Amino acid sequence: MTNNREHWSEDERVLLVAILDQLIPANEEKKIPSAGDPGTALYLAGIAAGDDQIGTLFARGLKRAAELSNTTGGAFVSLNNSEQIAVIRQLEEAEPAFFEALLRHTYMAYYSRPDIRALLGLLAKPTQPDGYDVPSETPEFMAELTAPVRRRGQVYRAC
Amino acid sequence: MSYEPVDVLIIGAGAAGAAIAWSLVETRMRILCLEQGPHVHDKDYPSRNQDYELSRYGDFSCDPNVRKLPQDYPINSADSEITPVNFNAVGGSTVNFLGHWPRMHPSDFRARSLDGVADDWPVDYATLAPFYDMNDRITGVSGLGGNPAYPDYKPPLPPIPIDKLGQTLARGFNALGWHWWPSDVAILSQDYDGRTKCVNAGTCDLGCAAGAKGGTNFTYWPILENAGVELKTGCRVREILVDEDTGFATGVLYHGPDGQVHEQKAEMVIVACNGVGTPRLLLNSKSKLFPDGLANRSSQVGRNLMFHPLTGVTGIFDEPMEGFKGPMACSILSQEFYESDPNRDFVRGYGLHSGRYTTPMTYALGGYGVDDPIAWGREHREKFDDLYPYSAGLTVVTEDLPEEKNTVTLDPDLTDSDGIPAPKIDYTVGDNTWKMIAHGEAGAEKALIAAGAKRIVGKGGDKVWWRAGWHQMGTCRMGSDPERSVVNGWGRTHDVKNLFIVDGSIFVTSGAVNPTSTIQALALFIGDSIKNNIANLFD
Repeated sequence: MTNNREHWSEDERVLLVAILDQLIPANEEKKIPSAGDPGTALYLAGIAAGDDQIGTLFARGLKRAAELSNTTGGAFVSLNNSEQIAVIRQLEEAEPAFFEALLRHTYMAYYSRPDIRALLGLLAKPTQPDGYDVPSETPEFMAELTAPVRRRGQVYRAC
Repeated sequence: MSYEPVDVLIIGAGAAGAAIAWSLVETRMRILCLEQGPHVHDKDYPSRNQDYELSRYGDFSCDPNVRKLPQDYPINSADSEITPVNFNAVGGSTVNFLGHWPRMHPSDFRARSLDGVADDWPVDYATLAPFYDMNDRITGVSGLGGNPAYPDYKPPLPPIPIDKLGQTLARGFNALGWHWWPSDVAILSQDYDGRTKCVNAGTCDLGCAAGAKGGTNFTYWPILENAGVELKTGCRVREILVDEDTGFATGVLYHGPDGQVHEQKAEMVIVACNGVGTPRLLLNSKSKLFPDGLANRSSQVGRNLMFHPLTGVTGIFDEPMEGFKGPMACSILSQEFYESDPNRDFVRGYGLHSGRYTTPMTYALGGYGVDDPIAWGREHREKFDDLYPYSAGLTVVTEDLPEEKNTVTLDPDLTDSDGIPAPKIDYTVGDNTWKMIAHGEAGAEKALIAAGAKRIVGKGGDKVWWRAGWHQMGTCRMGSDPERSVVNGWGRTHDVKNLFIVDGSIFVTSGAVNPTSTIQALALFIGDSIKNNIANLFD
């Protein structure tokens, strides 16, 4: 799949990024960015450009989002936080197929980013071939931990 | 094109096909295995890619209806509460399985005698025990001997780390006086037999690029190919042929990688396509002798489909549990409620499995085997900041009882890319199972709180996990009565004397444990029985 910066108009892109900021907000304290960072929108553009059905769904959904924003009080980015959330909730009701696809692909795009994985404590790099260092328990430790189970004895039916 | 006969034709290069080929190698018979999938090289596993999690929802999904690769066949599961999952390649579903390796209990083979439900198996635990041991040695199984839930045996390798998550839950079980034990796993805790030990990557379902997980592509197949077993990939069997005079199987028709239909003749045919693929193939193999499908005079082919219905309960702890480290489905296992107890409102039982936790994308999309994305907005942030790192869960894995209404049939419209009718699943979770799930959820919650959980989240409610049909059993069951079973006590079909079945479809009951170790032990046992009966094998 090819990311396509030109897939959406500038207005659509700005609107999408603002919605993404609401779907996965930032954690300022932990320096975890919101989903509105450029990478997520680019991924979604690639999805929409590579699949006519999703492309049409996204175009319709963004158009509806703009309409709902205008009805509420203007361009989505000009609305205050609670107004933006209210618009997204209306969008969720009005365009369920679009919203389901948007949410799913947003989560996939955002959490496939190595920088986000690292901020959550996981390896930024692929899990193979190095993996994680997890020490084995010693036989003595396991003997102590399993001692109550051993003391109780057989728990299966002999037959 | 028609090929010269082979002595043994095995259909499917997964867990069972590999094991029985290994058993038969010493006979020096000419053995050919046809596999519809390709060899998938470990360098191509997604766990080596930067965006590895995306593959879980694309071309390495466990769900063939999501993957839609050329070697996959679609499955209509619109009328099922669980959808089957699999993998089509050399190694079969052991490429993407999670490596949990518990054995069945002795009582699992005697459900009718002990509990008055289902049927007894025509084999018992004691008969299979040496084959479990043999398979554990070939596979490289890690675990701790002395588990009081089983007759004594010792896995060849020490247990994998249970880590903080497993230790925490173990203390909870100890506080309640309940059984638990480190999980037996087909995952190497030490370098073994030329393979390297587990690196705790936590993405077992995306292919173990280290080769630490005991997929048969790493265990049996290298031995078999060196020993001269012929393996043809990209070959999808369309139907098994029978001689209308003798009633014997004569071979198969298959679609080759060249797109053409070929005939392969064989003296003996062994089917190893598991609980959905095997009945599909038999039902697609119609003839004058078998108008309702091959070896189906009992009408039992495709009936009694069993899964292991699952649900999960999650506890939130004070400290990070780091559940993304380590083999993803295997830490510890409680079998406190495995055996029947007349004081409960259900028969048979279930296990409480402590998987590790999961990676962020999968958590966001609802969890492994679940399609239910978590909330967006502030609640999303809170779940990731306050719950995800501190989570540890228990999965309730229930025994499914055989019911004739749970079936694999042929879909009247849906076909694979070669035009072969696809399977249709009709399956509902039984009342006994729902009672087990309710009991299991309560038990899991109790254990998590005893382990120190401050909150409980993620109970399943009135649904079982959707994408959780890993274990497909019962659809060509064993038995001594040809009217009520498809194969006899050593895997030979009652109706066709040179046709054998060796996969999960021949299970009589499901137990409440992951079935692969039992599937392979059975395959080795059947191979042994074939050798022992070689002089009058087809009488």
